[in-house]
Amino acid sequence: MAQGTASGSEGMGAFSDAVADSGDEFKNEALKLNDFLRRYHPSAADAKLDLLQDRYRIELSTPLPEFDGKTSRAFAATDLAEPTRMMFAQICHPGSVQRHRTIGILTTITHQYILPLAAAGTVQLSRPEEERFVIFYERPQGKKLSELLAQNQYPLTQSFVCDRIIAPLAAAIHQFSELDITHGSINPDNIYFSDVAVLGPCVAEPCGYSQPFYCEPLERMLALPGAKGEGSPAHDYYALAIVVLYILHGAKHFTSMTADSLARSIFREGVYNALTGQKEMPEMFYDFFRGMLSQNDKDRWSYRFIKPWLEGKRYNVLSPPPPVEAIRPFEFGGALANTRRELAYLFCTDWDKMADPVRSGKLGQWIAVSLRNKDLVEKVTRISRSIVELGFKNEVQLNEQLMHVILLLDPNGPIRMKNLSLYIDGIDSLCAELYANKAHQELHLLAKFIEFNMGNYWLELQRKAIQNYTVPTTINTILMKLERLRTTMRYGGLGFGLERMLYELNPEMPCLSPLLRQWHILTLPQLLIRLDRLAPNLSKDDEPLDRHMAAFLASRLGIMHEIRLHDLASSPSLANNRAIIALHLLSLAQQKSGDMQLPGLTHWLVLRILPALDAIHSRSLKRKLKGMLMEQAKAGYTQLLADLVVTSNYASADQTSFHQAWSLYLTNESKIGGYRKGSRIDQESIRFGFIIGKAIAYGAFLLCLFNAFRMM
Amino acid sequence: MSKAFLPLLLVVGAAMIILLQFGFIFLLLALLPSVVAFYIDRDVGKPAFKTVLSCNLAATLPSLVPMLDAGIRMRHYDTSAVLSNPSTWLIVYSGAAAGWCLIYLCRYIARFTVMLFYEYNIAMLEGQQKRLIEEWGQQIKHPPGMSQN
Repeated sequence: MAQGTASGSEGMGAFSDAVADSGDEFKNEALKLNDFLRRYHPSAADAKLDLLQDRYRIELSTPLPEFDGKTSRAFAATDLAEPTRMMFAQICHPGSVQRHRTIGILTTITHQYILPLAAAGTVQLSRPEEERFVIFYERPQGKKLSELLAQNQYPLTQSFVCDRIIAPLAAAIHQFSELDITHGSINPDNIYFSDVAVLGPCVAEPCGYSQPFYCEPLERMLALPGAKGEGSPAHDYYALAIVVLYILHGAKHFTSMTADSLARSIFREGVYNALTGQKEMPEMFYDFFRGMLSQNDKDRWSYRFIKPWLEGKRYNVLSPPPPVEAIRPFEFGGALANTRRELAYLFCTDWDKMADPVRSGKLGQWIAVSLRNKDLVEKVTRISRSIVELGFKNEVQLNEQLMHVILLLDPNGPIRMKNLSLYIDGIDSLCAELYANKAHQELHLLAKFIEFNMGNYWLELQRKAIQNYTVPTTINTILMKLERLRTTMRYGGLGFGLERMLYELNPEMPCLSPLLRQWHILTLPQLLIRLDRLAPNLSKDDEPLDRHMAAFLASRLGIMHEIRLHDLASSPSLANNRAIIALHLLSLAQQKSGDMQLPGLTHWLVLRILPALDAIHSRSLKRKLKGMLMEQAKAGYTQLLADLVVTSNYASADQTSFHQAWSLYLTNESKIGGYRKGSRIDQESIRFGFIIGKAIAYGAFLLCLFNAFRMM
Repeated sequence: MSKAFLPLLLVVGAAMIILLQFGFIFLLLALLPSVVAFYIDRDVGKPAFKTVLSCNLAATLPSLVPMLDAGIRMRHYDTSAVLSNPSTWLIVYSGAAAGWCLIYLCRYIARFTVMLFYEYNIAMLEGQQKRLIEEWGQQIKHPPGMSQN
């Protein structure tokens, strides 16, 4: 409960802007509100700086750049319960995505070949004064495998590689697999070696985000770094094989490779041939690499095969032949493709020109003649017809159709559309990454992808390709999120739009409002308390709500339809007023958050709402409302303010009364004009004069008649 | 004059001829100003004619009543004495003139009264307009669609 004291006098600040905004009519009230806010010092909870769970302390004076990640900085850390335990802390950048499910699981396990994850959570830092998400790891002993290999300290015998590298790492991956999680960051720079190899940290960023391209299987290599999804243990085993290859052939083996050259050689020669490069290696590893570097995840060796192999069993695995699928290659952009998959890759290198062969029917013809796949020809021809019908008008639909072509050619690859290349379960982290990079064009494309339910086609293909296909939990979760998000994507007002997409896809994402940049706000109470504390500083210039806060609140409150203040509908300037919408959302949040008093926030809201009351025509109603708002602000309950401003039907009553008053005013004006008209006065005087004259004349006549008859 | 009154006028005229005999000529001459007023008055309901007629008749009655009385009692009445008496004509035509004076005089009295009544109403309405502006602001002067919020 945030309670404040109104004492002291420092930090007056120029509230004149807010006062001026409020207009003369509200000057006194604005001054009173500002005076309260100036003296308001909410009692802050005793935040323990650089400390998590009263146990793990970050030593900000000792940076450890060797543990830095792409989205985190590392510092030395101390376990206050065990001061001898060497630790490091990864401080995550604001707006970055962490793997919370994996964190939750890893904090509960201890495995000798997995770097122990001690704790993770939000920490108030002392320098800079910010709240950040921090992950505490035990510091690994020994050196990075890459450094060790560079120094040539150890004799790299077969038994050394098998017993001290492959065996512990395979056991670690097996443990991950048993826990239904993946590591996603197995590479020589993230394996630590003292006596045996130990897997390094992996949760500070999306799965595979920093993974070198050659450590990823082809299909993940083609996806954007932030959009690879959670992957599977098969991908970790693939990375393990690359690590062994790195040990056997050294770093030089990979330095000449680029992602494009590696992809093209995999398409031409197959994974095994492309990566081993036909280089000499101990004979015992042939089986290992042929088993591990398989094209298909399902054929890849798992712990079930590696363990017996480590124990001496030999399988005599055959070398896979180079993948040739088509009778004749397809030429696109000056390159030749022999397989559907390769063609999909070539198409994606030049998206804008890809439509031409599809539209002209050249692709369908190639599939019919060179692949002889009737089913595929039918599907591609149907898409070609759609593209021809579309013409060049609808870019979104054209992109969708081209995305379908790519998926038909490479159903196991990522979903590719223009600059996007993603896996369904990587949409959340991709959205966060695009947001962090301010890639608005891609974000809009992603929004269209969700709005038009384009992921459904991918799901259909998976269902057709695999009998009794069961949707994995991670994908099912994201599909449900997308379904829910689709209804909200239609709206663009406060609480919706791209910001809403960000928070809906990433429930663990803190509020990224520029006003709250310094804090890691995850819940409604945290947001309310923070706004209450910020009220004295921010009330002079800022509204208590921006698009980020609105989207964050709407997401946490589960608001599915555009925010319309129906009780204020008769007065659009009130119904669309940002401060009143803010009040509505914040009152719902406070209602949901339970008992808390927020006098700073209520005064801030009233300060911003007062100028909006100018839209009310009736001065007495305005005075009454103003008085009640000033009174209710003291209580610190936004619901009370909302009851007054948002939900009572004063606006329509004011509007109706104003119409009546206006009509009366007009009638009166015309009456006054009429009374002042000279001709009317003349006419009326003549008419009335005749009446008087007639009355006197009739009277005189009757009198004379009476006298005459009396005399008769 | 409405055509409905014509038969009535003829009947009354015939009755008067029978009753007044030569006195009817006196009546016709006496009511000449009213006849003139009838044709001059273009106002709806002929209020000027009615006023002049009433005054004209009121002034004629003292001379007419003895004639009527004699006519009813079937006695002879010397109309020439009345016709030749200038004071009779002075009274009769003064009555008609008084009718015209009344018309003009009452017009001024009415104008004063109307002005008084109008000024009172204007003051009342202006008070109400002031209260409306105080309550609803200057925007009350504009149509609601154009109100300046």
